[in-house]
Amino acid sequence: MPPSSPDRVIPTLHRASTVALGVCAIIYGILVVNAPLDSEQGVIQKILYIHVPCAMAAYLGFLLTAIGGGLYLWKRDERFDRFAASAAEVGVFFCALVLVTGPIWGRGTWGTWWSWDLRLTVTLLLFLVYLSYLLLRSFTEGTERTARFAAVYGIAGLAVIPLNYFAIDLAGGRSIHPQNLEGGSLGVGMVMPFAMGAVTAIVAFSHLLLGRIDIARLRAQLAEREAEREMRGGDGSPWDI
Amino acid sequence: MGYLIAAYLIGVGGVLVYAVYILRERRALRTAISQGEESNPG
Repeated sequence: MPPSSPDRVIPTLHRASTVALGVCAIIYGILVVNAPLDSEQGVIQKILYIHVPCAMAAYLGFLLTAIGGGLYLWKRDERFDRFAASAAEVGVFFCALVLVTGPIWGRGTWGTWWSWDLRLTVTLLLFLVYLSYLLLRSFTEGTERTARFAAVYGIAGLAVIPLNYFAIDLAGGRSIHPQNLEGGSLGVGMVMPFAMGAVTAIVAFSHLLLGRIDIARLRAQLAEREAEREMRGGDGSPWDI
Repeated sequence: MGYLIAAYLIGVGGVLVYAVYILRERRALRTAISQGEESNPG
Protein backbone atom coordinates (compact mmCIF):
# COMPACT_ATOMS: atom_id res chain seq x y z
CA MET A 1 0.00 0.00 0.00
CA PRO A 2 1.52 3.40 -0.92
CA PRO A 3 2.07 5.66 2.09
CA SER A 4 -0.64 8.29 2.59
CA SER A 5 0.14 12.02 2.30
CA PRO A 6 0.88 12.78 6.02
CA ASP A 7 3.13 9.69 6.12
CA ARG A 8 5.47 11.43 3.68
CA VAL A 9 4.85 15.14 4.31
CA ILE A 10 5.38 15.29 8.09
CA PRO A 11 8.73 13.41 8.16
CA THR A 12 9.96 15.49 5.19
CA LEU A 13 8.98 18.75 6.90
CA HIS A 14 10.57 17.52 10.12
CA ARG A 15 13.88 16.85 8.33
CA ALA A 16 13.74 20.27 6.62
CA SER A 17 13.08 21.96 9.97
CA THR A 18 16.18 20.24 11.42
CA VAL A 19 18.35 21.96 8.79
CA ALA A 20 16.54 25.30 9.27
CA LEU A 21 16.98 25.05 13.04
CA GLY A 22 20.71 24.37 12.71
CA VAL A 23 21.20 27.42 10.45
CA CYS A 24 19.06 29.69 12.68
CA ALA A 25 20.85 28.50 15.83
CA ILE A 26 24.27 29.40 14.39
CA ILE A 27 23.17 32.91 13.29
CA TYR A 28 21.35 33.42 16.61
CA GLY A 29 24.44 32.39 18.61
CA ILE A 30 26.69 34.80 16.68
CA LEU A 31 24.21 37.69 17.11
CA VAL A 32 23.74 37.08 20.86
CA VAL A 33 27.49 36.88 21.51
CA ASN A 34 28.05 40.14 19.59
CA ALA A 35 25.00 41.98 21.00
CA PRO A 36 25.85 45.16 22.93
CA LEU A 37 25.81 45.09 26.73
CA ASP A 38 22.95 46.82 28.54
CA SER A 39 24.15 49.91 30.42
CA GLU A 40 22.09 49.08 33.56
CA GLN A 41 21.99 45.26 33.77
CA GLY A 42 25.19 44.34 31.96
CA VAL A 43 25.66 40.89 30.43
CA ILE A 44 22.73 39.25 32.26
CA GLN A 45 20.29 41.28 30.14
CA LYS A 46 21.15 38.89 27.29
CA ILE A 47 18.79 36.36 28.93
CA LEU A 48 16.11 38.50 27.24
CA TYR A 49 17.07 36.89 23.89
CA ILE A 50 16.04 33.44 25.14
CA HIS A 51 13.37 34.24 27.76
CA VAL A 52 10.98 36.30 25.61
CA PRO A 53 11.25 34.08 22.47
CA CYS A 54 10.41 31.05 24.64
CA ALA A 55 7.32 32.93 25.89
CA MET A 56 6.31 33.61 22.27
CA ALA A 57 6.68 29.90 21.42
CA ALA A 58 4.61 28.97 24.49
CA TYR A 59 1.82 31.39 23.45
CA LEU A 60 1.92 29.93 19.93
CA GLY A 61 1.65 26.40 21.32
CA PHE A 62 -1.43 27.24 23.38
CA LEU A 63 -3.02 29.17 20.51
CA LEU A 64 -2.53 26.16 18.21
CA THR A 65 -3.99 23.90 20.93
CA ALA A 66 -7.16 25.98 20.86
CA ILE A 67 -7.25 26.08 17.04
CA GLY A 68 -6.73 22.29 16.86
CA GLY A 69 -9.45 21.80 19.48
CA GLY A 70 -11.85 24.08 17.59
CA LEU A 71 -11.20 22.23 14.33
CA TYR A 72 -11.74 18.90 16.10
CA LEU A 73 -15.12 20.04 17.46
CA TRP A 74 -16.08 21.19 13.98
CA LYS A 75 -14.78 18.32 11.82
CA ARG A 76 -14.58 15.47 14.38
CA ASP A 77 -11.32 14.40 12.77
CA GLU A 78 -8.85 12.65 15.11
CA ARG A 79 -5.90 14.33 13.40
CA PHE A 80 -6.94 17.72 14.77
CA ASP A 81 -7.12 16.27 18.27
CA ARG A 82 -3.61 14.84 17.89
CA PHE A 83 -2.42 18.21 16.57
CA ALA A 84 -3.94 20.03 19.59
CA ALA A 85 -2.37 17.59 22.09
CA SER A 86 1.04 17.88 20.38
CA ALA A 87 0.88 21.70 20.36
CA ALA A 88 -0.06 21.70 24.06
CA GLU A 89 2.90 19.49 24.94
CA VAL A 90 5.40 21.65 23.04
CA GLY A 91 3.75 24.80 24.47
CA VAL A 92 4.09 23.47 28.03
CA PHE A 93 7.74 22.67 27.32
CA PHE A 94 8.46 26.26 26.22
CA CYS A 95 6.42 27.66 29.12
CA ALA A 96 8.62 25.58 31.47
CA LEU A 97 11.69 27.18 29.87
CA VAL A 98 10.15 30.63 30.52
CA LEU A 99 9.60 29.65 34.15
CA VAL A 100 13.22 28.53 34.48
CA THR A 101 15.03 31.30 32.58
CA GLY A 102 12.89 34.04 34.20
CA PRO A 103 13.87 33.27 37.81
CA ILE A 104 17.55 32.97 36.76
CA TRP A 105 17.30 36.48 35.29
CA GLY A 106 15.37 37.67 38.37
CA ARG A 107 18.02 36.31 40.73
CA GLY A 108 20.70 38.18 38.81
CA THR A 109 18.83 41.51 38.65
CA TRP A 110 16.28 41.63 41.51
CA GLY A 111 18.29 39.43 43.88
CA THR A 112 15.43 36.94 44.24
CA TRP A 113 14.44 33.78 42.36
CA TRP A 114 10.69 34.34 42.61
CA SER A 115 8.15 36.99 43.54
CA TRP A 116 4.37 36.56 43.63
CA ASP A 117 4.13 39.37 41.11
CA LEU A 118 1.00 39.28 38.90
CA ARG A 119 2.95 38.50 35.67
CA LEU A 120 4.96 35.70 37.27
CA THR A 121 1.93 34.23 39.00
CA VAL A 122 -0.21 34.25 35.84
CA THR A 123 2.65 32.66 33.86
CA LEU A 124 2.73 29.86 36.45
CA LEU A 125 -1.07 29.60 36.17
CA LEU A 126 -0.82 29.35 32.36
CA PHE A 127 1.74 26.55 32.71
CA LEU A 128 -0.45 24.68 35.22
CA VAL A 129 -3.60 25.06 33.09
CA TYR A 130 -1.98 23.36 30.08
CA LEU A 131 -0.02 20.87 32.21
CA SER A 132 -3.41 19.83 33.62
CA TYR A 133 -4.69 19.52 30.04
CA LEU A 134 -1.91 17.00 29.32
CA LEU A 135 -2.43 15.13 32.60
CA LEU A 136 -6.19 14.88 32.06
CA ARG A 137 -5.59 13.50 28.58
CA SER A 138 -3.07 10.95 29.82
CA PHE A 139 -5.49 9.64 32.47
CA THR A 140 -8.29 9.07 29.96
CA GLU A 141 -6.49 8.51 26.68
CA GLY A 142 -8.15 7.52 23.47
CA THR A 143 -11.85 8.15 23.90
CA GLU A 144 -13.93 10.50 21.78
CA ARG A 145 -15.28 12.06 24.99
CA THR A 146 -11.72 12.86 26.15
CA ALA A 147 -10.98 14.54 22.83
CA ARG A 148 -14.15 16.64 23.07
CA PHE A 149 -13.47 17.66 26.67
CA ALA A 150 -9.82 18.42 25.87
CA ALA A 151 -10.87 20.60 22.92
CA VAL A 152 -13.20 22.70 25.10
CA TYR A 153 -10.62 22.89 27.90
CA GLY A 154 -7.87 23.91 25.44
CA ILE A 155 -10.02 26.72 24.05
CA ALA A 156 -11.07 27.94 27.52
CA GLY A 157 -7.43 27.93 28.70
CA LEU A 158 -6.62 30.48 26.02
CA ALA A 159 -8.31 33.14 28.19
CA VAL A 160 -5.22 33.12 30.43
CA ILE A 161 -2.97 34.41 27.60
CA PRO A 162 -4.32 38.02 27.40
CA LEU A 163 -4.39 38.08 31.21
CA ASN A 164 -0.73 37.04 31.18
CA TYR A 165 0.26 39.54 28.49
CA PHE A 166 -1.49 42.52 30.11
CA ALA A 167 -0.64 41.51 33.71
CA ILE A 168 1.94 44.29 34.03
CA ASP A 169 -0.63 46.96 33.02
CA LEU A 170 -3.25 45.36 35.27
CA ALA A 171 -0.83 45.49 38.21
CA GLY A 172 -0.90 49.29 37.86
CA GLY A 173 2.79 50.03 38.35
CA ARG A 174 3.22 47.55 41.24
CA SER A 175 4.84 44.89 39.02
CA ILE A 176 8.57 44.29 39.35
CA HIS A 177 8.60 42.58 35.96
CA PRO A 178 9.85 44.80 33.08
CA GLN A 179 7.25 46.26 30.70
CA ASN A 180 6.27 44.35 27.54
CA LEU A 181 8.55 45.07 24.62
CA GLU A 182 7.24 47.70 22.23
CA GLY A 183 8.61 49.35 19.10
CA GLY A 184 11.78 51.27 19.98
CA SER A 185 12.04 49.91 23.54
CA LEU A 186 15.15 47.87 22.68
CA GLY A 187 18.54 49.58 22.61
CA VAL A 188 20.71 50.08 19.53
CA GLY A 189 22.01 46.74 18.19
CA MET A 190 19.56 44.69 20.29
CA VAL A 191 16.78 44.37 17.71
CA MET A 192 18.55 41.87 15.43
CA PRO A 193 19.54 39.34 18.16
CA PHE A 194 16.04 39.61 19.61
CA ALA A 195 14.37 39.11 16.20
CA MET A 196 16.66 36.18 15.43
CA GLY A 197 15.86 34.73 18.87
CA ALA A 198 12.16 34.92 18.02
CA VAL A 199 12.72 33.29 14.60
CA THR A 200 14.88 30.52 16.13
CA ALA A 201 12.30 29.83 18.85
CA ILE A 202 9.51 29.56 16.25
CA VAL A 203 11.64 27.24 14.08
CA ALA A 204 12.53 25.14 17.17
CA PHE A 205 8.84 25.09 18.09
CA SER A 206 7.88 23.93 14.56
CA HIS A 207 10.59 21.26 14.58
CA LEU A 208 9.45 19.84 17.92
CA LEU A 209 5.78 20.10 16.98
CA LEU A 210 6.26 18.23 13.69
CA GLY A 211 8.18 15.49 15.48
CA ARG A 212 5.53 15.28 18.19
CA ILE A 213 2.70 15.11 15.62
CA ASP A 214 4.56 12.30 13.85
CA ILE A 215 4.86 10.38 17.14
CA ALA A 216 1.11 10.79 17.74
CA ARG A 217 0.38 9.59 14.19
CA LEU A 218 2.66 6.55 14.55
CA ARG A 219 1.14 5.65 17.94
CA ALA A 220 -2.34 5.79 16.43
CA GLN A 221 -1.16 3.65 13.49
CA LEU A 222 0.37 1.09 15.87
CA ALA A 223 -2.78 0.98 18.03
CA GLU A 224 -4.88 0.48 14.90
CA ARG A 225 -2.70 -2.43 13.72
CA GLU A 226 -2.83 -4.06 17.16
CA ALA A 227 -6.60 -3.71 17.24
CA GLU A 228 -6.81 -5.29 13.75
CA ARG A 229 -4.59 -8.17 14.89
CA GLU A 230 -6.78 -8.77 17.93
CA MET A 231 -9.87 -8.73 15.70
CA ARG A 232 -8.27 -11.42 13.53
CA GLY A 233 -7.92 -13.66 16.57
CA GLY A 234 -5.03 -12.74 18.82
CA ASP A 235 -1.30 -12.99 18.24
CA GLY A 236 -1.19 -16.75 17.80
CA SER A 237 0.15 -17.46 21.27
CA PRO A 238 -0.87 -20.74 22.94
CA TRP A 239 -2.81 -18.69 25.52
CA ASP A 240 -5.30 -17.42 22.95
CA ILE A 241 -8.71 -18.95 23.36
CA MET B 1 27.96 35.65 33.71
CA GLY B 2 27.15 32.38 35.50
CA TYR B 3 23.41 33.11 35.45
CA LEU B 4 23.55 33.89 31.73
CA ILE B 5 25.38 30.64 30.92
CA ALA B 6 22.95 28.66 33.11
CA ALA B 7 19.92 30.17 31.33
CA TYR B 8 21.28 29.38 27.85
CA LEU B 9 22.45 25.88 28.85
CA ILE B 10 18.99 25.05 30.17
CA GLY B 11 17.20 26.61 27.18
CA VAL B 12 19.34 25.17 24.39
CA GLY B 13 20.00 21.91 26.26
CA GLY B 14 16.29 21.47 26.93
CA VAL B 15 15.42 21.81 23.23
CA LEU B 16 18.19 19.34 22.31
CA VAL B 17 17.08 16.75 24.87
CA TYR B 18 13.44 17.04 23.74
CA ALA B 19 14.46 16.76 20.06
CA VAL B 20 16.53 13.63 20.79
CA TYR B 21 13.65 12.09 22.77
CA ILE B 22 11.34 12.69 19.77
CA LEU B 23 13.83 11.09 17.36
CA ARG B 24 14.27 8.00 19.55
CA GLU B 25 10.54 7.62 20.13
CA ARG B 26 9.79 7.91 16.39
CA ARG B 27 12.46 5.34 15.59
CA ALA B 28 11.08 2.92 18.22
CA LEU B 29 7.53 3.30 16.89
CA ARG B 30 8.62 2.79 13.27
CA THR B 31 10.51 -0.35 14.30
CA ALA B 32 7.46 -1.68 16.16
CA ILE B 33 5.22 -1.01 13.14
CA SER B 34 7.61 -2.64 10.66
CA GLN B 35 8.07 -5.70 12.94
CA GLY B 36 4.29 -6.02 13.13
CA GLU B 37 4.10 -5.93 9.33
CA GLU B 38 6.79 -8.61 9.00
CA SER B 39 5.06 -10.97 11.45
CA ASN B 40 1.63 -10.31 9.90
CA PRO B 41 2.10 -9.82 6.15
CA GLY B 42 -0.99 -8.63 4.35
